[in-house]
Amino acid sequence: MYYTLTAITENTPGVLYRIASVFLQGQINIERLEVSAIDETRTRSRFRIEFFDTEQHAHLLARRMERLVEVEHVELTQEKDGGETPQNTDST
Amino acid sequence: MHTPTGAESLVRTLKEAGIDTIFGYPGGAIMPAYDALYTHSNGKMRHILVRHEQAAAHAAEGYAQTTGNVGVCVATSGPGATNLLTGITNAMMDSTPILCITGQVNQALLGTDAFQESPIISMAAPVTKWCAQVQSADKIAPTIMRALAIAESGRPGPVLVDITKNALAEACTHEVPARPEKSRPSLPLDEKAILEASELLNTAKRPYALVGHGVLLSGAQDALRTLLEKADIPCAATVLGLGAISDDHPLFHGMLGMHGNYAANLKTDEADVILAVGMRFDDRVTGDASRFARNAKIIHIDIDPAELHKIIPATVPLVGDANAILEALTPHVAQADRTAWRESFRLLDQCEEPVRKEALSPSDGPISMSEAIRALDEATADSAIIVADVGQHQMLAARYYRLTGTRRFITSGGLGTMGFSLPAAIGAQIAHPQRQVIAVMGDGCAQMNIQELGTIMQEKVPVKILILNNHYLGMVRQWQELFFDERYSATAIESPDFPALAAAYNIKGACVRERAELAPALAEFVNSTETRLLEVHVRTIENVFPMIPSGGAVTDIRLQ
Repeated sequence: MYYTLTAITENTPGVLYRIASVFLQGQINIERLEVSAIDETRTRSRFRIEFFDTEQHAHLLARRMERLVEVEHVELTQEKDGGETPQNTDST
Repeated sequence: MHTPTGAESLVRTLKEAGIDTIFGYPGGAIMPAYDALYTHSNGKMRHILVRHEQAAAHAAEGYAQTTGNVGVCVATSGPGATNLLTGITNAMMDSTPILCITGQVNQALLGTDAFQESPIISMAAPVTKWCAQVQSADKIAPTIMRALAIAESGRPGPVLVDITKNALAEACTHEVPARPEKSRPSLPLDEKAILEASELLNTAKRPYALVGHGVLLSGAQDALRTLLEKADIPCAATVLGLGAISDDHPLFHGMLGMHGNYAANLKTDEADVILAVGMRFDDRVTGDASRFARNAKIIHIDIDPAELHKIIPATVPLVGDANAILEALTPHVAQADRTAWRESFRLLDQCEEPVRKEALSPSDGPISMSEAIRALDEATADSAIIVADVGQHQMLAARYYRLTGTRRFITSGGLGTMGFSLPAAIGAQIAHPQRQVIAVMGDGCAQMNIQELGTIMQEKVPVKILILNNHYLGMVRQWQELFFDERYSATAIESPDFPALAAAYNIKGACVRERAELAPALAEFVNSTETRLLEVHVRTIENVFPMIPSGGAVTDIRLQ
């Protein structure tokens, strides 16, 4: 199933790396990733990450993400249309 | 007026946070911190010089696990920092609060492959609860305070603060913030879930409690015992949960898992309600998870939401502090008498009697590892701390060393780190100078951090070192015998003359080969006020049973 995970985090060095590590540990490929600072003081970031996974794994991933100290809030939504079918990955 | 450096700020911050013991090893990048420690080496901050940074992390773990406070270790950049990683990962797996402080090259040299530069933050991130690099002196104090709070809040774990050399050396304004509140305050109790859990327990015919490390971390031993006694619920523990309920309690039926007890394992498949407290259904506990607890509804209490539904789906998940949840649950749980259910545990326990008898009372032949453990049990005080390494001796210590009184059992549970026991015992002994602290290891583990005999010698740590020498890497040998057609690949291991090696470190050692010598040697060993090493030559072939074969279900448990 196709999921979108939105996370509100601290805007500090290494947060992207830690979040990516959670995906790596679960061997989950990221289909789309957006990160931006979200407030005037640039102290917080919003991550929007899209990926394919089973329901059980996606929820486990979200909970493991919430465990990160820098992560303040996580929301997981399942896309209604199921997203695009995964294509053969191209390293470019 | 003297302007403090970042290094002085670091040491003062640690002191203000109540830290009085550090395990570490100096080197180039961390030198300014050691210079500041020299200023403060007036007895208020004790530095234990280890012989390898891995040992610093394990010693901090031993300190933390036996005190409940954060253990602190220090290493320099590059290899000093990377050597910590095994200990950090061990602490992550076993939820042990340690603070690791590493030196780093100057900020200007970061990313230039400078001498002794390693990207420790990148390496440590997946195996720490939190880690951060500090590049300016002013940020040292607040970062250390935040790290300490994170290490001990919620589910405890390791944190790492990497400090560049310029930050340690430059001047700063030393302003220590108060130690912050826990970064994640405990969640409000879920009253509805508590009522659901009590309803499940009250209507259960065959309830069974699985006790994990979280009970000890939460200090929930009394609350758990009260609930179990009121509702008459039998229980068993994971390897790290051992000691939470006394071994001689009538409701206690031993250890879960691959080398756990017969009844303890089989009853997970018979129970209709399982109350899992502060445990995470590790694969060594569940065996084949798809065939675990097939007849049970699960009440799962854990402070870490990521543990719920991870392996075994919970019927009633309860997120939060085990002690608070158990205290809230008990008033709703009905008093019960489950004599028949309890009796069925006892009958299964009896099936294990021949295994125990053969292990503990062999009629002839060399000493067995099991009887050496039982003899140690009989020789030690009710307040002893046993630090077991990893392998057959660890499982046999878990089985045959009785955790009654205020005895503690410390071991590497999740990561299974050989070489853990000697440095962890150093940490435990330094935290508890008056208690008997005994490191129990096989001949393989003994040689994995043997250099720490130097630390013990220099710091005069009166730890007791018991080496059960079967001339094999015994657990791997057992698997080769049972599952690899007796093809003993690389498991026969030769060891040095351990007492002679101890003597080289000015430690008194002894060696036992005969059964009649065992009890007197152990009595002298544990009661000495000084460090002692005792090598016991045990039979080369001894298998740990019961055993759940790898990949099997708990119902596949074998008694031989």
